[in-house]
Amino acid sequence: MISKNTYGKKIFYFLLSYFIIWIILFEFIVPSNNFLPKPLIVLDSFGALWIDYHLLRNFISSVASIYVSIIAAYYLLRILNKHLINEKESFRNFIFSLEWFSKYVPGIVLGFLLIYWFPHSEYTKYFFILIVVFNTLFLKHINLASKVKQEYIDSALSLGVNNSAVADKVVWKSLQPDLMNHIYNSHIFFWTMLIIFEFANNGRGFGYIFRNVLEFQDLSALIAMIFITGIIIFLGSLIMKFSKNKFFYWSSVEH
Amino acid sequence: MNTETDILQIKNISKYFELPAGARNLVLENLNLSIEHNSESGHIFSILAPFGAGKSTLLRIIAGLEKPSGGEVLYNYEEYKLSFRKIIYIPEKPSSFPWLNVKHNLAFAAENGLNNNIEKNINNIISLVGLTGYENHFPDDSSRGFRFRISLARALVVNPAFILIDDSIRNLDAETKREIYDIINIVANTLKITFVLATTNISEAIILSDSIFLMKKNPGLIFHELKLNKEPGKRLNIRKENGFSSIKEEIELLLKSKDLAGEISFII
Repeated sequence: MISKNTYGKKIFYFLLSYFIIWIILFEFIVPSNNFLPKPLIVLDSFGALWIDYHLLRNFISSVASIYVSIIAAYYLLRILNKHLINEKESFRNFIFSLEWFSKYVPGIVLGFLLIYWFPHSEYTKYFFILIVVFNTLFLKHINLASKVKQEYIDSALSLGVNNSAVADKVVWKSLQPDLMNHIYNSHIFFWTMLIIFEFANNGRGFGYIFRNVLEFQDLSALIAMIFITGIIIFLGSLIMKFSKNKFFYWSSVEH
Repeated sequence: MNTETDILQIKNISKYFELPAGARNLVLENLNLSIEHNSESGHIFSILAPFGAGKSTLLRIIAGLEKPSGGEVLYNYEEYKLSFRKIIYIPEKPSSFPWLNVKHNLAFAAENGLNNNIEKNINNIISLVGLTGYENHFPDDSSRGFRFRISLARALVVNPAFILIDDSIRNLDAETKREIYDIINIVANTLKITFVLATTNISEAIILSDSIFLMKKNPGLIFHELKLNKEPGKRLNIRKENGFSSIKEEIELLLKSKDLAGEISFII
């Protein structure tokens, strides 16, 4: 039987195996090759990334756009929550048709359209990531809203709470942990979309750095950027996991 | 002192559900029931029926949570609306909100949030249901008894005339059940609230109730009312008296006449 690896174990084994193999192999055994650079050269590249590729400016651009968009999308959904639950069937069908659309058209294609309309714009990037995050949260909301435990809704209604307040105080509360889980699980997807968008937009952000290092064929900077991106996403995920466990610890949806 | 009487009337209630093939599943048919609540004494009524008889559907209709296919629910001769806050429904599954602590669960029921008067009332209710010391605890799935107490306490905050309990006690362990029976009995006597308890357990119905409605299934219909003529506050003592066995036998005979004897539980 395969035992379930814990989070910490996975990190430990990754560092112990792949990381150490890379150091031994490419630092000492085959230091000169066109496949992977020497670890020490990668370490040196962090300085070059900071100065030549304006790492700080691009870091702020990417991190701000992704987390501001996540927070904005979450609160936008919170505002729309009671309307999505209590509005008429026709309104909901109109909104829910987006689910069908988003199954067949990759979101990044819309990003390309935005880049065509507003090239190199930072605001467009925020807008695009907001749409990406909102769309996935919205679809999750549709999926989960019908699974909120009926006993919670019945109790609230029986206590004389109106439909709007039930949507706000019971349904939304019930959905919060699963929405937070969904954000956590989709975190890497949001970053992927952001980097592709920045890569194509050629404005600011990590995608812009990746584009430049590829243009300059700077392999060590590319590897260093992979490390930096991974570490930032890892830290972002840790904060999300902590927030979810600390503030949204209950389970109120039938799975 | 004036005595106020609230009358709950269920008139010709029918309920069917549409099945996917187009057929109808008739759950309740022309069901009639009349229950009075007197502000000077609390009463406990039980609806004793097998699983699948439509007890939950009936209670949900009475509470205004579900529309009947036919008939009406009248509260003091007018159609009952949820905004009256006079009939509170406690579902079978735990319904206290896990994101709120005990005190805030109770405050949820208060219309205008917490203020000094409501807080005082809430503290009294917390004490009545045995939750003193647990005000800041959060309910989780591990303790159904704890969660039931919170649901009951929350219902009491709105000062209802009727509390409907949808077989919520069934899944508790025997010791917790006895504690909950005591609490229901105390609440009925001290706060003069009328309970309507849906149950599949004969012993539970006899121990708790002043009156038992026997209900058959397919379709759900109340076919007999058995008045137990207990003294107020003496409900729980009946198990120690000879009356228990004779009432149980009488109920068994009535259930046998409807082929329901095998579908009702006896053990607490």
